[in-house]
Amino acid sequence: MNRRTRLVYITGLLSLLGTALVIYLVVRRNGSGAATVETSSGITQVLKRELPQNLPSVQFVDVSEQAGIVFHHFNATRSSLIVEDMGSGAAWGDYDGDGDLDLYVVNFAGSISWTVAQRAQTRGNALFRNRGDGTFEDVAEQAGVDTRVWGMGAQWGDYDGDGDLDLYVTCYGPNILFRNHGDGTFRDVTAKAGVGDEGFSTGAAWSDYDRDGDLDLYVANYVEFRPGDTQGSAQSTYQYQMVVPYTLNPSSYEPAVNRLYRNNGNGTFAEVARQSDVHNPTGRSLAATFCDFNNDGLPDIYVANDVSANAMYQNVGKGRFIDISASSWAADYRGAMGLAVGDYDNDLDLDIFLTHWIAQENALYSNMLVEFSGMGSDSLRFRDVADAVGLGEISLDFVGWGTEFFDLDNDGRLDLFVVNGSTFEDPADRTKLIPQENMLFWNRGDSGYFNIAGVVGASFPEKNVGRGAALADYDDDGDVDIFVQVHNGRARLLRNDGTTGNHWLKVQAVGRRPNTHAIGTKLRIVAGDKSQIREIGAGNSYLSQNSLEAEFGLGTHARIDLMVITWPSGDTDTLTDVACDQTLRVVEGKVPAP
Amino acid sequence: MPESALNERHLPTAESKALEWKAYLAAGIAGLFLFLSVSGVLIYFAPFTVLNQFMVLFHTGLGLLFVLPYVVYQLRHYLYSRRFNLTNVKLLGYCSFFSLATCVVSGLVVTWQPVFSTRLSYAWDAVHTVSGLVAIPIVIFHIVILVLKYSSKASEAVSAVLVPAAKRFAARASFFAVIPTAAVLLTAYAYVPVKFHNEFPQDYNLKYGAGPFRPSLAETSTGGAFDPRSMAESASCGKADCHKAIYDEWLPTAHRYASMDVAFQAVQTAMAKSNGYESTRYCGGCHDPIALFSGSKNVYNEDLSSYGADEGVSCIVCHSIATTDVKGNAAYVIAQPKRYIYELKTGAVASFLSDFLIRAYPRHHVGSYTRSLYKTPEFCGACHKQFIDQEINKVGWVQLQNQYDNWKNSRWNHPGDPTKTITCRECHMPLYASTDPAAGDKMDYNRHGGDGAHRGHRFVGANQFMPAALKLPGGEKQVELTEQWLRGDIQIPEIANKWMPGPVVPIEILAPEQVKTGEQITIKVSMLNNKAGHDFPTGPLDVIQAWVDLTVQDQFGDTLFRSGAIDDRHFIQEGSFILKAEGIDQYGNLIDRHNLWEMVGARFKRALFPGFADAAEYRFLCPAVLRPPQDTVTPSFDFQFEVPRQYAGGLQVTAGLKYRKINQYLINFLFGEQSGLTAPITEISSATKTLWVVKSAGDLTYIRDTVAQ
Repeated sequence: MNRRTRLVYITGLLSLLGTALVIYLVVRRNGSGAATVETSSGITQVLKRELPQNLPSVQFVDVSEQAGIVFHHFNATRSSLIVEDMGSGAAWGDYDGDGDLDLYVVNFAGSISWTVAQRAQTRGNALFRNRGDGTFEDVAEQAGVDTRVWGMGAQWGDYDGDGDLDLYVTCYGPNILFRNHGDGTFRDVTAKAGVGDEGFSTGAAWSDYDRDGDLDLYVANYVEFRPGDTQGSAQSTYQYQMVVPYTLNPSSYEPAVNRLYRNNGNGTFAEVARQSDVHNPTGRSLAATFCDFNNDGLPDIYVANDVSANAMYQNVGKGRFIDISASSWAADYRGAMGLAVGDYDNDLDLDIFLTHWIAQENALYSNMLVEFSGMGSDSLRFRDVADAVGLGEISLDFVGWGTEFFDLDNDGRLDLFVVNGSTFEDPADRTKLIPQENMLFWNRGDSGYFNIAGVVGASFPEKNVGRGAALADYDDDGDVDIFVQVHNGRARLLRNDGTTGNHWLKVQAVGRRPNTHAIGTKLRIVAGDKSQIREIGAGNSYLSQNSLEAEFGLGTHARIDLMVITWPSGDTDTLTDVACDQTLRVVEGKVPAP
Repeated sequence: MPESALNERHLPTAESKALEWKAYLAAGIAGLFLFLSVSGVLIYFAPFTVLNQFMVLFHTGLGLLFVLPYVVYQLRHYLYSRRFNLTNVKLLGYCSFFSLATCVVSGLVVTWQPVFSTRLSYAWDAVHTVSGLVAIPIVIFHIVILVLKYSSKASEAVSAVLVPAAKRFAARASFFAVIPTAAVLLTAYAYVPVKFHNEFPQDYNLKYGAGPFRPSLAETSTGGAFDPRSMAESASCGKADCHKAIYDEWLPTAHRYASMDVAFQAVQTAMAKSNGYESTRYCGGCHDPIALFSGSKNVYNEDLSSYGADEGVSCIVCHSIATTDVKGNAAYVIAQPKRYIYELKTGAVASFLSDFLIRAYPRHHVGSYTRSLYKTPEFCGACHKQFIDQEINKVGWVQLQNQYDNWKNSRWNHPGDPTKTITCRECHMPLYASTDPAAGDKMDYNRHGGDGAHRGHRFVGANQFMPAALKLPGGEKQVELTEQWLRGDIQIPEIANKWMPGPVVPIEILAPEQVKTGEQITIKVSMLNNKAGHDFPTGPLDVIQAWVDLTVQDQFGDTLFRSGAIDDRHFIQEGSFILKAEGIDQYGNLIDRHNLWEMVGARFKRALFPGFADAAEYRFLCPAVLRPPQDTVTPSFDFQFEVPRQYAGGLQVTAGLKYRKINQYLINFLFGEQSGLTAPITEISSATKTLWVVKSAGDLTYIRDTVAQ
């Protein structure tokens, strides 16, 4: 092959290659616009928060088994009825007066289609006595509180003023009041006391609303569910995929009225909800709390209602309430489940956090008492600031339940715990509900809340069908621990292993008889230029009760300059220069305690 | 190619070559080729500018001018050179011919298509691009190698003839290239575009802080105003030979009448008067964006409107949104699209030129108005998620309608799996067979670029009132389709494998099979959100009503129980089961005039989440005796008469789920009771059931059986 021939071949080859290259480049360039929808650009999320750098060095460790808290809720096959999916809760309280906190855990003892005999075979409610060494033993049977009921919630309160904590258990079915004998045993006094509402009761709250000295009881009732309502429906079978039958939809049932049991002081109660105008006939109630929101010394009532408007009842004295739901701007109509009460912004009024159903932001109702003071109006008003502080949008894909403000790192700002768990059935196994991860919001002050659940321990983000949550410093180490009640699952005790070095103070308030556990007592402390407030017994999570102690985080302050205790009686006690890192027992009228 | 052919020795003479170089035709087409090459490369690679658009016009015009001389030259050149030996130069000549011929033919096609049809074929466009890009280096090599040969290897005598010829050729060719280049530059320089007046009115105030459109979360990319002309004029998109089909679909839709909707206008006026004119900016981001961005939502502008605002969510408004945020309340950023030259000018020539450019040079058009963002639910969510905040209600954050998060957490969303997920547009923008230029889509998992279908822009939803009430073109048909949609009668083939069949909200009567005379009967009407991707009903639930109309009749057709009837004033019977919301203001008063700016909460809300069932419960007494027919003389005994067996002793229960867009109270408030206006009612689904009545005294024999004896 001569040179010319070679050149011809080379030229031909190069022309072909060049053409191929051009075709490739043009096709590639023309086709580059074909992004998939999944990779679409242009979608932003301005409310999303990236975790900041200086996170608290707090870890939560699941110590359920090593602490002896072994409890499996429900233990039956769901029958797609709403009553079976809503429970249950738990309550911390020192029932035996030994100084450490014990835990009562409520069970929904089996399917509602079960016979009494079947229910007798299952586990009842549990009373985990704190041995004082970080472990517990279930003494429910000896104590006589291992009742096998379709239990929902529990509340400790010394209704008879004998100094020990009695126990009220709400149920689907008759509620129960257990009187504490003071010797570690209880007796069912429901019938005598007249507090055995037979409906579908959920949250409950103790407080001396009429200021006669003894504890009264508010009981939230959910809906008028009747077990016969299961008559056949083509729609509620699964011919339509993933259908939630109406038997799981609270809207399908009429709201049940709430109860206000006024303590007669003789071991009996009178039901006065309707005459006090707090029966909330339109509310499908799940949680309720007594709290003095307007600082007038009288406990008001806030009720969290599912698929119906929440209610705010202002206590105007002499046992009367007025419905200020609308004017308080807190008539939240979303599906509210649990509530927490605390002064999240340290402006010395108590705010309300509400957990909601899916596709609904959780709400943080900031109390505007301070902001609106001196503006010619003494009305109580709340403003939902959840989105602004990072608590709203993040909750849209979750169903929230138990919740509580607490200072997880003792830095002086109230953080927030939220239990999640879906009400949707798992398409792969319709007898199960879909689990979700819980959230732990760290309060960073002006920049709001950040969910640090992913960085506080390997077991913390574990998904659960969470329901109740009760918080307390059960191991008396100065930081607050978490108990989560899991529907049809294993209960979780999450021990706070904080290593922040921040100072703390716990206050056990002892009131004059008969309100010996000082429910409704308000505490204000001043450390340096910061003030904090607490109200004993305010905020009841979901079907649960947090400890009746006031836990303060104090940051770098080793001493408290001032503590003002305002007892339900209206009396105040003042302490100055209080040492921190201790559990302080204060007795009404005898401050400091001996 | 046999090697012997390559080695045949036929050499051209220097003189004949020189003649080729000297021909004006050669220089002319070379000059044109040079211009076409440079302009072609610029058209393909350079950004969208006025200059580049003129490049397209000149490229096209001169390309057409190029064809005939080129054919003549090519023929002549072929006849001249075919006798010569095959060399690399000659081979390049053949390659030039093939690529140029392809370029010319495809050039004619890509000129013909924009002029005589609705769109450019991307395949032909690619052929033209490739052939052009291939031809350029090949022609250059073809010439350059030849010239180099003359300079290096040919004898001096030959060089003396050919090199000057080649130089002259180069000079002439350059001349022919420079002339059109200068013409393009001059034309582009002289072109005076239509300028938008992107200014707020001088008295425009920033009542709600720095963001000029607050409390709406909508923003412009510049942070400033947008001339309403830049957002309106949808008719220009819907010209006969452009997106007419899509335009006609859009004309009677809620997006189109978002602003001109008489109910919206009345509510907006009420809001302006009671809450301040500027506060209506809150509505503008979704309902009235053209007016909003023009700065017309201002205190001294009584009608709160602007030029073109009645187009509501116009073609350009939706198709110019650059980003959206999942926060809702119109959280989007809109960019003013750059227009083609002559697009905003009037006259037949201007129209022809801009249409031609849009079709022949569509990259900017497509890039401006097509984004993958538009396929996402998050895009729709910018407006289909609403809350009220402190700026408006002076109270704080109150959640309102939220179709987006409903859908996101529903059974229709399976993140990452489009074969199971049904997004907003798959239901509300189903595929229509189409010759629209926008037909075909290769981004969808179940579509391709040539599927001959476009996403319908009817956005059929649940407003079966306004399209006809506003007498919009196609309004009657839109209403008809909406009613079919509400009943679930519209099938969507492309999602049939992942959607539900049947009614949108089927209902079922749940009742005992037999009831006793004199006892209280409890029946339930259960209903299921079977097909909607969001709550049913959804939207402003203070305005919308969906209710159960229940009738219980005895065997003679006499009504024993009724709930959900409409009275002669068009109000629903008191105590009926209604899916709706009852908002309240801070004094506990009902939000009944769509006065959301006063809403702080709601005392009642009921709607069906996707896949959820609900039940309405009714109780009534079963008649103690079943009466005989009125015209039958019978003794007192109740079942001694002939009745059709199928009705004998039965109570006939009939239930219908009814729906209307606007409740009568609001209509009366907005338009006056004397207007006689009422919203049409659609029956979404219905059910019947017969309850057999048995005797009360423990005898469970069916009355019908007694009758049969």
